[in-house]
Amino acid sequence: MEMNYDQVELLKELMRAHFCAVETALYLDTHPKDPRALADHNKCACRLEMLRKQYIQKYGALTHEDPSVYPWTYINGPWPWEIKY
Amino acid sequence: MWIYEKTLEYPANVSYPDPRMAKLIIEQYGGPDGELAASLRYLTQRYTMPIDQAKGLLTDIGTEELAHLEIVATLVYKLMEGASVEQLKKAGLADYYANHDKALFYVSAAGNPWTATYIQAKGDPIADLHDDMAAEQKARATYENLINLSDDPCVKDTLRFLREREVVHFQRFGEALRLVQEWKDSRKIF
Repeated sequence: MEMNYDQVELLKELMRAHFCAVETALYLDTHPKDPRALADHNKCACRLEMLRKQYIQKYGALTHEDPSVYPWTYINGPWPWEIKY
Repeated sequence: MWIYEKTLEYPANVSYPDPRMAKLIIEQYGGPDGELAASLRYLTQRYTMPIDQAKGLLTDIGTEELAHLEIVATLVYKLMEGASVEQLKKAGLADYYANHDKALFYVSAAGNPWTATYIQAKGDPIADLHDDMAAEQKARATYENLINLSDDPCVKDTLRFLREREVVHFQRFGEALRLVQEWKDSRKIF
């Protein structure tokens, strides 16, 4: 149930993109009219979407709403608490 | 609604099993200023926030705290993984093991089970946002204590990330408080 190097690296790239989106979103919650922050957030959102698509296609579903090849990939380990990052 | 995604918000690695540190870090899992308390506090206070900015912020920070809960759980899980019963006994975890084996349970470092009396929802947005700002500072202080108690660079790195998030959340809650105060002032009729 070990992840190979390439998968861990892509996962960490995805985690970084996620974090950028979270950070800009919190800022925008209290500064909804900041155009620069909004542009940053939209850039993060685009990158996150691209990386999610790439990851899912290569390694399977990240959420139970994602499409999956047969058999159902969502349950495949390792789960987040089992991964060596 | 919420959707689970199979990623951590930040990597959580440990260099070696260390049940002694697991017993201490569980403070931020089920302790008074831990991530469960934080998440449930914000998510239940959001319903009575008067302005959209505060509703959005409490929803998003409450959700991020669930991600932090998962990071803390990962640290505790990995620190206990592979530890023998003898090692757990030495780490002061014999009573924990008797009840929970190595399962994750919502207790403080001193073994007290989580309780809703740790949190509050007053329906008064000024009171609630002050409560939230205090909660972030208390969590920051706890993370600093845990960083001082650890000698594992991997564990320290993850704890530093979590500490930093408390500082950011404190800042955002302060902004929300100012926005709520402005909203209240704008409604005063003289």
